[in-house]
Amino acid sequence: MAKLRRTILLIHLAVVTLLVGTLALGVGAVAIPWIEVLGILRRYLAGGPLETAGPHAVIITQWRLPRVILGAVVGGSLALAGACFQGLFRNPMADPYIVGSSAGAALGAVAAMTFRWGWGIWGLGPVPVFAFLGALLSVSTVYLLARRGGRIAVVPLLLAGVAVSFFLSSIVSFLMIWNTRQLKPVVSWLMGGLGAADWARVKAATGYGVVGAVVLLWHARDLDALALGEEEAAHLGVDVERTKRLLLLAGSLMTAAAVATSGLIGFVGLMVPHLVRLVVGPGHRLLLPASAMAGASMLMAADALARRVLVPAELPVGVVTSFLGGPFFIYLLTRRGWR
Amino acid sequence: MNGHGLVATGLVCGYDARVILKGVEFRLPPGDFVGVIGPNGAGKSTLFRALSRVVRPWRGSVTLDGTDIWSMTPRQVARKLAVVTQGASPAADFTVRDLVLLGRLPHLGRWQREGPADNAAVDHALRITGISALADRLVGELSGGERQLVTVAQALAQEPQYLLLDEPVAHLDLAHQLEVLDLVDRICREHGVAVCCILHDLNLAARYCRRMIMLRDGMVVASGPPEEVLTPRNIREAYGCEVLLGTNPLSGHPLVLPVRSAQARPSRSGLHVHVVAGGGSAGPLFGLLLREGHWVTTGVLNQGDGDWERARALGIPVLEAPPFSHIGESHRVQLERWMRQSDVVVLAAVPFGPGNLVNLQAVLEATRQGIPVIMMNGDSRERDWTGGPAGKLLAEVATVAERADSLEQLVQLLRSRTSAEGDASSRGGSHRTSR
Repeated sequence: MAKLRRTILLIHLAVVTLLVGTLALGVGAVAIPWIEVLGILRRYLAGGPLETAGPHAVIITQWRLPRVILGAVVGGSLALAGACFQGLFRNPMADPYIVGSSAGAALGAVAAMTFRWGWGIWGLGPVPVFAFLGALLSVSTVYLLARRGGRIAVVPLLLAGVAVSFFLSSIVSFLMIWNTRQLKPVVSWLMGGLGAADWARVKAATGYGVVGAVVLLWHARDLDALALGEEEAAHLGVDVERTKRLLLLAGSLMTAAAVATSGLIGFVGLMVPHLVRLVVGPGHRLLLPASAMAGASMLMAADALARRVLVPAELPVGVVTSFLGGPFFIYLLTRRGWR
Repeated sequence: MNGHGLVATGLVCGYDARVILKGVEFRLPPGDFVGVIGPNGAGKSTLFRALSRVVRPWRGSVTLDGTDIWSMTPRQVARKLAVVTQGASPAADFTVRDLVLLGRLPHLGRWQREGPADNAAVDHALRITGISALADRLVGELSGGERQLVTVAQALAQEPQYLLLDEPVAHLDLAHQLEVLDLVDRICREHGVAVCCILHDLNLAARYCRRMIMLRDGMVVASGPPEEVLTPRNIREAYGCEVLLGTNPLSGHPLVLPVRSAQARPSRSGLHVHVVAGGGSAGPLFGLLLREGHWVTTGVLNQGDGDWERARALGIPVLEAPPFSHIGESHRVQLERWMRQSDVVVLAAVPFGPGNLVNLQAVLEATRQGIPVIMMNGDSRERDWTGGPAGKLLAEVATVAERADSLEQLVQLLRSRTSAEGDASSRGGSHRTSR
């Protein structure tokens, strides 16, 4: 029964995600009817000629498709990273922003842009690589600072996260002022947007995202066990230290995937796992995939909104998510208290 | 059999630079029920952490059925050994069933879904613990007692051969304490699971454990069957607490009654009170006087008398005579010497017969020497079993002695004496005439 319910729920979510994606393809400065979007997509997937299909086909396949897919990957990655950090820190306040991984990733990425480091690994450009390293470093720091006797309490976590984030942000600001030639791309990137989406970014984000997602799903039951406490998890046969290290790595990887390709997009990682948990419960084997899909849907929808509100201008999608997320965070603080 | 069981040898471990366990020997044979007792900070929980592969020993080893647990993976250990930790589960938003299902974790592969065997184990665990009806409730909605049953059920779902429970009945009310321990006892007896329990309540420990080890300051003070471990001496050494040791009339297990902290004993302000008692007439008198800080002696009492047992258990010096024998003149001399040394003689509501009439004669002698006597007025029970002489003596004592109708009044009388004593410069003599 429970298994069936789980499967049905995930199928529903997948359908919704696809639906949101195709709807988002139609939204923008040029509104394209949904039927036409589907037709273009069918031809595109079948490998048919697009040159003759008119300007709408070009807009969809060249511009909007990578953007929507990137939105889905980034939204899913942020939500998964949030679910991961919330489970790992046993704390509903944790998300890539709060625990400092976003700031770390931002510093890594800005440093790579400023110094024009030219190398990367595994075919990835320098920006994602350094974003990942930065995220990893900052999360580990916050984790060690906030740990008190094997537990992560809310107040030390928030304080450590804020302190590390501010410190790293100051370095980011310094780098920006210090090298004004790179100021403009850095600023527009930091604002958080999917406007610069292209297939290369989609590939980078997907590569990181899939690896991180696999590691997380691999540890879904261990995350459940960690919800009982580290010692309790150990008694259930979880290799706690190794699991924590892997989960920190995975969470940092997913944050880096998002930050390196689309800048700082706030609150997705906080809100989505929370809302999903209210619906599906705390079990991570359902929570993780559901959060990934919900996060993807949410960011695609937010980006569609960002493209639509000030036509012909565009809002950075980070503005939309923060506008929704700020009040949500305050609601959480007042409702769940500082427990 | 030698390799079987959960065995710790020469266990030394701690946290950071602080050593907690200083060479502990421990053995939990298959199917046994072992209790771990000891004061706070003795290292009981640390012992559990070391036994369950959470804390790595600095020296010594822990073996599970002959294999060093550090050469096993956490999963392999968790399939044999389950631990119920102290305190409530924080995972309030899990359903009971999902939480118990987590107990299957060490048996499940990474991508493996739980199969019929796992569901059967969960159902079984829920049934044994009697919480099948709660299966779909959220853990956060349950009471403390129910939550403890859920954690036990989760441990059972692991299908362990060894079960460690860290204070499973802390924070539970009396009925739930018995419910949980009866359950654990049943798990041990009927399902052959070896159980090791940290317990603070020594009487519960004595009732359920077949063997126990007593820890203090990271070392084993005593180990063995409850009767051998729970001696006043061991308890004083481990807890620094005086206890009265009796026998549970229902089960025959040792029954421990804490009396007072041994540190309170050397009291400078108290009086030397000699109590004439017998046949259980002292009742709570000894304990009361000790708590008031007085130095108490008693006698003459026959060995085996209820008051004799009580006094011995409290460490009160007793002038004693052989069981059921007449208390003779030799005792009387000694008794009068003891009385002369005391500040006050308290005459409990003792019935007097030919056997102990000497005590009453000594009391009368004491009044003649000016030693203050306080006479407890008992109930209207007949106190003269000599056919006259005792009644006469009692009446004579009553003319000079102070009377206390209740223990409370006795305490008041002694307190007023204590302050008078404080004014007097020398011990004995002078103050006796002041009243």
